[in-house]
Amino acid sequence: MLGFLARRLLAALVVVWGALTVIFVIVRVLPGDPAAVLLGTYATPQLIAEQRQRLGLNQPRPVQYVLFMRQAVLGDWGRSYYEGSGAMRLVLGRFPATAELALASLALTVGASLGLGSLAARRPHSGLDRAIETVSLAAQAAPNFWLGLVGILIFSRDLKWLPSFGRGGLWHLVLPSVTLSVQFIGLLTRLVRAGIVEMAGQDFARTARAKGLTELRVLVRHIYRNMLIPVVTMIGLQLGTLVGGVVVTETVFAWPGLGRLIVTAIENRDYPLVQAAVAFTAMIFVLTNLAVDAAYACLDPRIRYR
Amino acid sequence: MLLRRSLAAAVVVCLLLAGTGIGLTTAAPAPSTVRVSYLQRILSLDPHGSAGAERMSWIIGRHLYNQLVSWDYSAKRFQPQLALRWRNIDPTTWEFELRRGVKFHDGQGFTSAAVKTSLERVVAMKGPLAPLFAPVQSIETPDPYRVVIKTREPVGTLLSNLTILAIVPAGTPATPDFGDRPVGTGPFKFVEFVRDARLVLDANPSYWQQGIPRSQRVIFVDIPEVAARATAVETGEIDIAVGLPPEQMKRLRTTPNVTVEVGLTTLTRALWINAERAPFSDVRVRHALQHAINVNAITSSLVAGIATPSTSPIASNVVCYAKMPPISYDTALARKLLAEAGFPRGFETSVKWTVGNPKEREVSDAIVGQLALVGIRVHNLQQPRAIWLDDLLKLNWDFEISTTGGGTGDPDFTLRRLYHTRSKRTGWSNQEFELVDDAAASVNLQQRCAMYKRAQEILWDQGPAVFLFDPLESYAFRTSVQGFKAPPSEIFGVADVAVSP
Repeated sequence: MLGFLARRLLAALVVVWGALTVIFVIVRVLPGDPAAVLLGTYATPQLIAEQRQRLGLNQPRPVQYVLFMRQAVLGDWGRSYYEGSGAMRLVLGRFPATAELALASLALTVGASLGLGSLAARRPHSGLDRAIETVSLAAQAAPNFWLGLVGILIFSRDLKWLPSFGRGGLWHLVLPSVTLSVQFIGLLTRLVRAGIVEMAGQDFARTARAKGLTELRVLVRHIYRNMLIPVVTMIGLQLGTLVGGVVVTETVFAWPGLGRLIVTAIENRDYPLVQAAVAFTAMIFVLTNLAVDAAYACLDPRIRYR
Repeated sequence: MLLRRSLAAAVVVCLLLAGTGIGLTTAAPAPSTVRVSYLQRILSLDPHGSAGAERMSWIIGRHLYNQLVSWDYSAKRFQPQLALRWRNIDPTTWEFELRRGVKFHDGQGFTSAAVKTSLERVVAMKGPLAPLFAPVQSIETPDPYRVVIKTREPVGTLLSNLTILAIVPAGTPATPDFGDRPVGTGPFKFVEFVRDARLVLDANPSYWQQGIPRSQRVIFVDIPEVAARATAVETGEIDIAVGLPPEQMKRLRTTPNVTVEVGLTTLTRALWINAERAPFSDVRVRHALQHAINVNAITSSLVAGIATPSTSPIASNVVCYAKMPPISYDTALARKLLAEAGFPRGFETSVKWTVGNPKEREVSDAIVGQLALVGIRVHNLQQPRAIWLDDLLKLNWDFEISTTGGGTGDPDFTLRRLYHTRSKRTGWSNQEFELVDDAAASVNLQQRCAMYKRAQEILWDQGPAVFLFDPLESYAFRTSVQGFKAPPSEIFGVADVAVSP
């Protein structure tokens, strides 16, 4: 297990380095000059030249790359072009808001889809099953921004139950996390239902029932454990998405998360900030995958890592 | 079991995380707190850096800092701020007598050394404001309350440039770190800035102006989505919302407890024509374009209530504005002019623009449709800002939807900066127009205005642009807000605003 972990961490470093190199090239290949964006429509050729000098953009790109990598290894991700603060500090400052939203909607997704999926799988092709399937398909198809705005209009403006924007207490979390979960719930409910239906007919389930276990115990102890592997995989993927890119929901609810930071950084051609954000999200992706792999081993004793 | 335990763990973690957030609640509805929505993203609180020319920087600057002088839009003259009196010793030497007893938020006294630091810092920061103060040759401080500014050549715009120069404490280094903990002499002092969420400012109890500020606290809140912004003022989660499109204004007009107003700006929205390129180098083609675009139709529908048709290349409240004769909407005349220029069947071209201004897409669609009526087939190209800027500055465009003006409220900021041959911004060049150089060098406002009037006539007549409309700014505020009125320019302040509980 230790050797496995060491190898995985090494691989993780390679992945992060690869992602950084790719993003380093991509942001510089994109048309648009950071110095010009920085100065906006007030730019003059002289000011642009001075800013390029200040930002170190007039050096050849290979030199920029080597300098950037050397500093990154030392833990210095450079400063955002727009602000005095370090790029990584800005990224880390956004993480709590993002993690809060991601975990809340993940909990919501898992809870709701396990419940709904199990309910639907109890009697396949029954009226309830059909209804749940229709609703989950609709949920999967509903666009986030629309759901968010409608949610604001109903629950904030008309009913005045929930705050309409910003991050704060638990109440602030309700609308954004529900908005964010709806699509995932739709997807995962169908996955859970299919898994349960498939497992319910297997020999081990019959044996468990034959032992005299209640239907609930059979479901929780035997069936869930066997159908969870694809579900956990999907959850891992969703968690990655939740951390990296929920820009639309963040914008609608004025949620100060990572997504908006990254998108504005790209729009502004703020190279250091883009690089720091990519390094961070790549790391999160890698760690999530590692956690998913570890979860496989817990769920299925046959899986062992060496 | 495992599943249940991990689920429970996830829920606990969420609750804990959410719990940590509770103390951070935005906008605690304490009395005498004014909550205002952002207009755009706040990039930095450093008034001299690369964000120095952003509109949000100027709005924040009104609260955190003071300037030496301010421009009084109704009296049409400069008013004392940190400078009490000023005079020209000769055309290149200005003497300012400073206000006594003013303190910075950190307790330091305000003296002439702070003025010297601010002027030097804005140039050293090499931001967009630097060129305005580049002609300053020396700053002398003969005593703590006297500053003598010498310029290399006569600078007629010095006073108007000083209206946007925030005064920072003496000895402030020229590094962007200052923006992390800004200190000024303004009516409010810095408390907290959470990027993309809020900026919190508290009243400066020892502010030099009696009765100002009227509220204890100002919170600028970031709500990027306009529909959500309108809802927030409706629900009372914020007190003042700025920058709303016509459909939201219409809705809010009928909402109880909300008042809606529009105010002037110093901006002009124009369709720039690249006069360097054929066929636009032919003035007849540019005239045809002027007659082919129905500005009144656009301002009475797409931007109804948030714009008035342009009556000059500069907005009506810019210094030295002169009203120009209206240009008729006449497609027959436009077709005739195009035929004379050799394009009886029109031609193909493109318009470039970027998001950022209200209704830009609708306006560009309308222009494309209207020009099609005279045979000009326009490709409508929306660009990401970085690419748009690149093309704009490199003159890589045929048509460009451009919002000009703003800034100091001085015509020089628009006319000379953008349309002078040397500026290379529109590809247009006109010998006589270079009189704006003389206008900028004159320190006599009347003489300057006479020259700027001629400059406006040349631009209006020679048409390196079709001047579309002067955008208005929209404000929606709760009826509990006292003392707020739409300001005479796009830079608003809430120092004299209070909110009744």
